[in-house]
Amino acid sequence: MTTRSDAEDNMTPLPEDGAPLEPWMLELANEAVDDLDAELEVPRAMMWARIDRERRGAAVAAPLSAPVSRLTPRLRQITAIAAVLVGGVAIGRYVVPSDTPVLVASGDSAKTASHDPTNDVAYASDPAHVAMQEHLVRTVALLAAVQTPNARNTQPELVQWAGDLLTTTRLLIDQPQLRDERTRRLLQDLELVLVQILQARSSAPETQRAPQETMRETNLLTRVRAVVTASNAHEALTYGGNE
Amino acid sequence: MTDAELLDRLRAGDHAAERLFYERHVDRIYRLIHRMSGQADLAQEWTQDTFIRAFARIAQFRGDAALGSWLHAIAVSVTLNGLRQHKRREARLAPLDEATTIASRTPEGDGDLKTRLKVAIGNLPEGTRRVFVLHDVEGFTHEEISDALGVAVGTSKSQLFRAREKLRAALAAFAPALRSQESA
Repeated sequence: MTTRSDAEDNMTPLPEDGAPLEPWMLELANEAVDDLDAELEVPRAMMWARIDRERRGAAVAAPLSAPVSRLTPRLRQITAIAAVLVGGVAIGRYVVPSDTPVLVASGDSAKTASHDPTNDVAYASDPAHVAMQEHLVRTVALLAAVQTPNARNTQPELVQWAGDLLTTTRLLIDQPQLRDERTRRLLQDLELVLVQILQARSSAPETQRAPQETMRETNLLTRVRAVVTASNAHEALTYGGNE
Repeated sequence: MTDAELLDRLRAGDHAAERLFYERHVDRIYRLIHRMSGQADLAQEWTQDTFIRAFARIAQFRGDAALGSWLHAIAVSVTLNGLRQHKRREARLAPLDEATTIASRTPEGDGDLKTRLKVAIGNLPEGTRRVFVLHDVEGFTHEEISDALGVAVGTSKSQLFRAREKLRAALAAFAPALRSQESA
């Protein structure tokens, strides 16, 4: 990449970096940089949770991920597409476009202000996005249950539920249509919490608290709800919703 | 627990030892990577990668350097590789000269020498500050900085020149007094 500075450098003799700082200045500069860095907040717990997942979660999640990982990339892609299509069909009432979906949306000038209905149709009819929305709706219920102060994350039904959702979450993470930064981070944070719920079968108290801590640190439930709400608004605008 | 004891337990795959190792080093590693990357989310991701790689390769550690130094080397390697990939992804990397100046985090005009230097460093444009920190504080060469940040070697040199000049100017008022103290 050529920056403006690069261009200038090509036209003029390269500037040297000058004499080194005097030792006392350099020593002070080191201390000053350390002081500046000391103000940085290190997200220790969040980082450890992900490292821990890599170190220990692999063993726990292996039975769930193994069938997928044994597939070739091509078969994996086909499986993923099939999964999102199944999800899409399951909520077909949302994806089967009416004859005049755009007209319905366009007829409401208040709703269509600053809105491109073509994009809405593309978004709402994209199987990956539809499947993700349907998945997140189910996820909200689990996360809400886990976030309850007295929730026992080791309850077998919660663990089973998390295992099911984890498989779908991983399929969605692999979808090229869902690779925008915000969606990717949301799905990865969700994956982490689901793995932590599976790991919460361990007796260690910090392991059992990990899902709630990660949810709090990543504000996961609010973010998932926001996506669900935004997607619902998209559909209502595109297809006229249930109004 | 000494480093040697910790190393034995790490080699045995002791999970508690891994946590202890992490707690001992994570602040320093995170801040190092933050200095190099300039972004909290990248620092977080590459700190995780550093520890994961360290745990995976602990069996290869021969013990001829301190455990912390070995981890530091891994962090630098992970970050430089990450910066190269990030640079390719982020073709819109802003030119260093146009980088925004970050706000000073301490009040201007404070008479304390170190505070004044902190203000001066904090007030450097971000690109200039990164080059200064990487070169003068972390000891990277201009070639390494050029490779990591995606700028010409000449740009790295000129940024360092400017940084040094600004810091010298910020401390100019103190220099005579300090010199006389040193000679006394």
